[in-house]
Amino acid sequence: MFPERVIADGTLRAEPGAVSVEIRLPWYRALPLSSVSAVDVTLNGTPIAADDLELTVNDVPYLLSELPARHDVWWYVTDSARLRIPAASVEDEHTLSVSVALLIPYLPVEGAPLSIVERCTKTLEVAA
Amino acid sequence: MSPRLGTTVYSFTRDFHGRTASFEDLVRRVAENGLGPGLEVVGFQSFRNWPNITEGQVRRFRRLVDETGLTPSCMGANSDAALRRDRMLTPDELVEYMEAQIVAARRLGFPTVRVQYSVTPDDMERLLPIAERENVALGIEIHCHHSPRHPVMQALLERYEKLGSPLLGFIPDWGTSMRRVPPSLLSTYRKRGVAEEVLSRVEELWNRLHADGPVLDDRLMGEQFGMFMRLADEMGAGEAGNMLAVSAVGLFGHADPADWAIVAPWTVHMHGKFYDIDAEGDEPAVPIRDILRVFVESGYHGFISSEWEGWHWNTESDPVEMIAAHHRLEKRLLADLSRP
Repeated sequence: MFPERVIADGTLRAEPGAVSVEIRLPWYRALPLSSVSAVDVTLNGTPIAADDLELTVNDVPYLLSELPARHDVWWYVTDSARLRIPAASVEDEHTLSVSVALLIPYLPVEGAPLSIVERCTKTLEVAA
Repeated sequence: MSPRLGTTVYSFTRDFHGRTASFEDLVRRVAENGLGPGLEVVGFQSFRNWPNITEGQVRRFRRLVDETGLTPSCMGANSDAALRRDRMLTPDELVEYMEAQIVAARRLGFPTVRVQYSVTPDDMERLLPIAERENVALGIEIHCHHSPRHPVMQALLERYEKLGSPLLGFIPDWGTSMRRVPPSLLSTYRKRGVAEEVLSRVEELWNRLHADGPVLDDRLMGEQFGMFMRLADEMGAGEAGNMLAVSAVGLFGHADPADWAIVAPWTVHMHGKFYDIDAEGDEPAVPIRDILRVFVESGYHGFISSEWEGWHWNTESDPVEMIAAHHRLEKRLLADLSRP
């Protein structure tokens, strides 16, 4: 749900060697980080390796590989998470595509949770 | 005694998720627009750190209830059996997970807790002493793709009959027994440029499955989802296809409204799920008269939370106006149905 909100408008920032952007949980309730099964990113059309991404939730940065084990950490529904994306050069604006895949923990069907994928593509200016 | 009306704050999810209204704003909106008296919330949506809430959160909520005059009707708990990535929760873990939410619901003043289908009859039996201790009723939600005749619900019913406690029951969601795909879904995708032919074939497929009745064997779920996805793919519906398929299979149920009679004596709360209100003030997709008739006949006098879920695709309608119209419809039908 709310795929258009996955990338939060006006939140692209330049960082040393990277850009970062706020992303939203595309679901109606808090979910544990273990429910986030994939975050796929392209920056200006180039796919970014999952290993190079960092997701900061509740002010704590996580590698994507750390998410599956964290069923004890909750991403609250109205909170943004900040996604750090390595960038060789930081321009005034970037086209980003972010898809978030979620495993819905209360909807197991045939023993496996329902999987939801929401994709969002936006061109954002780097905020001053 | 007649059913009592109310609203679930879940109906305002688009505003809440969009951060244009706080939880407190929404509760006040329910009260100010006369959409109570029943107030239902989803714990994991409305309370940060749910179910580990502070006494401060409890006091703040109780103050809001006092201020608005609303009546807490049902706490939507979640049965997150697939919480962990490596395995499903064990029954011990799931019971403990539900206990924490039942306790939090009672602290907030809710008399009923919505539980979901991963909780087995054995788990429910183990939760009964906890429900007795906390003096709250537990209701397993019957939501599409489940239905009253589904084996999961039949097994629970059998256990309820054995245990005979008024604190264990069901929460029917009216989306389980629909009569058509909501017109607003079709018109939204029409406006977004999905071809008319795709939409009419989606509708035809849903109608064809409807004739076969609800899914009683979960293996059919993947098959039905695949049917909608293939249809959408073949016709180039793109990413709209996924939304159409998820909705058609996961939201729009095929049960016969008369089947609610099977669980009506065990109904502790209800979700008046709806999507559209037409020019005549009726819900085109959910046969509310047929559903209410069953519960009037069974003597149900608990709450019905109006649950507007059109917000998934409908960004134009105001949830307040939709729920007000739903309440008008319910009142008119209840008056009609209770006439001797």
